[in-house]
Amino acid sequence: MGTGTPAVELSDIHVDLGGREILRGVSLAVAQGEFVAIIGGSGSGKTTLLSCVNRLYGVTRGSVRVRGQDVNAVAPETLRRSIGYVVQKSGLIPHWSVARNAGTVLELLDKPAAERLARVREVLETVGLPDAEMATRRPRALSGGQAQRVSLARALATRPDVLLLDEPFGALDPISRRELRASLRGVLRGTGAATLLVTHDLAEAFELADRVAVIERGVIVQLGSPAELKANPATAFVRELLR
Amino acid sequence: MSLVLAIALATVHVGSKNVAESHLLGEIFAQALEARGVRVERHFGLGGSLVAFQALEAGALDVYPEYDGTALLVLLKEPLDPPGNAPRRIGERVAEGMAARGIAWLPPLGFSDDWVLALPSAIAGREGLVSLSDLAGAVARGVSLAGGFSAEFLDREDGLHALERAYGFRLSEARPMGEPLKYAAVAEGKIALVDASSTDARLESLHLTGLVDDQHFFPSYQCAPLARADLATRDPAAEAALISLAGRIDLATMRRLNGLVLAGASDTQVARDFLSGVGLVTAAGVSTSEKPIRATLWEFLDEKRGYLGRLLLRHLELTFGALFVATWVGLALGVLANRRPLAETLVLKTVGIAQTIPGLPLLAFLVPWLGIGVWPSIVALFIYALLPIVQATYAGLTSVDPDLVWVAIGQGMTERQVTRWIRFPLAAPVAMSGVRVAAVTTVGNATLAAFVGGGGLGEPILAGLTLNDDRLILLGAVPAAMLALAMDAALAWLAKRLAPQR
Repeated sequence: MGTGTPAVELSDIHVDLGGREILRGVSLAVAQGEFVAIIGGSGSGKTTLLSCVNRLYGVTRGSVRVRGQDVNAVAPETLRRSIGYVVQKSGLIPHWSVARNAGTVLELLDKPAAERLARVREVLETVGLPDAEMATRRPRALSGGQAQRVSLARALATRPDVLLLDEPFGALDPISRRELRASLRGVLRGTGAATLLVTHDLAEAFELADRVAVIERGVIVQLGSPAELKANPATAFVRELLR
Repeated sequence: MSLVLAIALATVHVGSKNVAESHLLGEIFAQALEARGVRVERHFGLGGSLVAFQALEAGALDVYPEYDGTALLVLLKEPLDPPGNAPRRIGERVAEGMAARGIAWLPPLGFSDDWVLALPSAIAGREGLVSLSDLAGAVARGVSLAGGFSAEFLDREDGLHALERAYGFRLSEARPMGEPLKYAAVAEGKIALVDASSTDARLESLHLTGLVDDQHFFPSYQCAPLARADLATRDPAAEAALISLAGRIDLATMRRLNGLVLAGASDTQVARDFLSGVGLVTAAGVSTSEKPIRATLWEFLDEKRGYLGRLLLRHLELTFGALFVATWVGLALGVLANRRPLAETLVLKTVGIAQTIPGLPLLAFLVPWLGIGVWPSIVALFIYALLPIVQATYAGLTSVDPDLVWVAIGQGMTERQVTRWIRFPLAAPVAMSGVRVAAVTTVGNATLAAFVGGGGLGEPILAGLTLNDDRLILLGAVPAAMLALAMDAALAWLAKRLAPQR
């Protein structure tokens, strides 16, 4: 892959769900190592946009390319295992230990047990859970913030070059949310992966992202650096966000 | 399964209905056959004339005692001739009708178990009641007689209501009452009129007078062995043994034998004494049935130990056989209902409706196809066990958090991996609770197997109900209840082991 090829490239994508147009012609390119936040209100289509990248939704029109390759050209499981994915509700498997949860994708990729174990220990340490005892717990013995850290560890375990974060701090109370964001900022910015973050929180977007895409009713209404958005808000919604 | 094999060997299958008199006559048939060296298998206490007759037609039975009136009205479904018909003719019509179906109406035993209306002799004397016409007159005069009748007599087309029409009266009170209760009530003077069988020993012991059916409303109920016609060629000795009973049991004899059983003597003993008395078997040992003595409970249990073991084993066979198949089929249907929206309604509705079919009709319905014995019982138990398992499996799968599935797929799990690692483990405890419910109800339902000769712990319960013997009822009911508890505890333990730790 040449440096000119975007890691993720959405070209004029449309998504219809049950006769409703959720996305109406969205184009967006994310370079390798770039961090792009997608911000919008509820129902704006931001989660749908993210889910097109790992093919949890299929596009009705347009194309989605990951590492230069159309997502429909590979088996969906293969595609998804190559992309880190974190959602708002951690989605940890309740009857699996923290360690097994963190190593889910490694297990799906049939990595040897020893390799899995070493990598899981490493990645749990990365997300701030170095405690070996913690790794043996079941998810329900974790706090909300700890669960999100495990969920992030699961996404990072394979060192993916594409990372999708769908409101990763969304289910937490405002204080833990700010704390977790601050403590994970370095980790999130330092993965080297092309990262797409969906959020409804502008502060979060500005703090983490290189560029911010504002989405309204299924179209991107503004795309630029935090500074550009501040200097020149394109719509009333963006102005409202900045207040 | 053992039943099917046994038919191939030269064994004569003797049946009886779940009525005390039928039990005793079945035992008399069996011993008369055995006396001539015929191998006999007993299927006593079948759930009514239809079940017994269907088993006979299907070849699962070779002979059972039947009454010509019942055979004509219930089995052949032919109408009675107008009242006044000579009793002899019913037997002839039954013989004809049965012959067309490959069934032989063998020579009658010598008594007619007629339906009579009976009342305390004291009242009969006081009111001058001898016949049913007298009764009609008394009711017209304003004499009030409260009646307690069997449900069958109240429901049948040719029962009480037709009788009232024929004689032109209407009782002020006619309550449905079961057998023992009815006689207790008349003894205590709570009711004055009961329907009874002319062979019932209690007519004498309770000083009841049967009213003469002067307009010949009731048909006769001549009793005879109803046998498969091919028995004559298959086993001439067997047919000869049954024919040798012809005319041997008159009304007084039948009443006396019924009285002995009612007083607590065993069918086996009463039958043996009767047969040796008429010289059909050689007398062995001293007769004890003339003075029946009830054994103590411990003697009784000790005597029945081997029998109880066999019953328990059969009960477990029935329960586990049905439960094993129902568990796998139920799980599969539950998964199907969860995965295919089209199958959802169909599966849940069908299984739900099957559940609402009452037990006895379902069993009766299965007999023509599956004969009597283990198979119809297992099929019926399977049908009842299905619903809780399907419902619980479906509920367990449906309750799995869709977000969890969504994320798992997002990590790159295939559908099969999601099912194996997430859906099944999370649904398992709920599905298991369905299996538990099914297991406990199946242990209870399996007692119904006795109605179609399936054996199990229902056998002594049914016999106890028929013979009015509490000890027999307890012999079946107590182990059945303990088995249900043990089953529940064992499955609870298993469920705990199987449940994913969370």
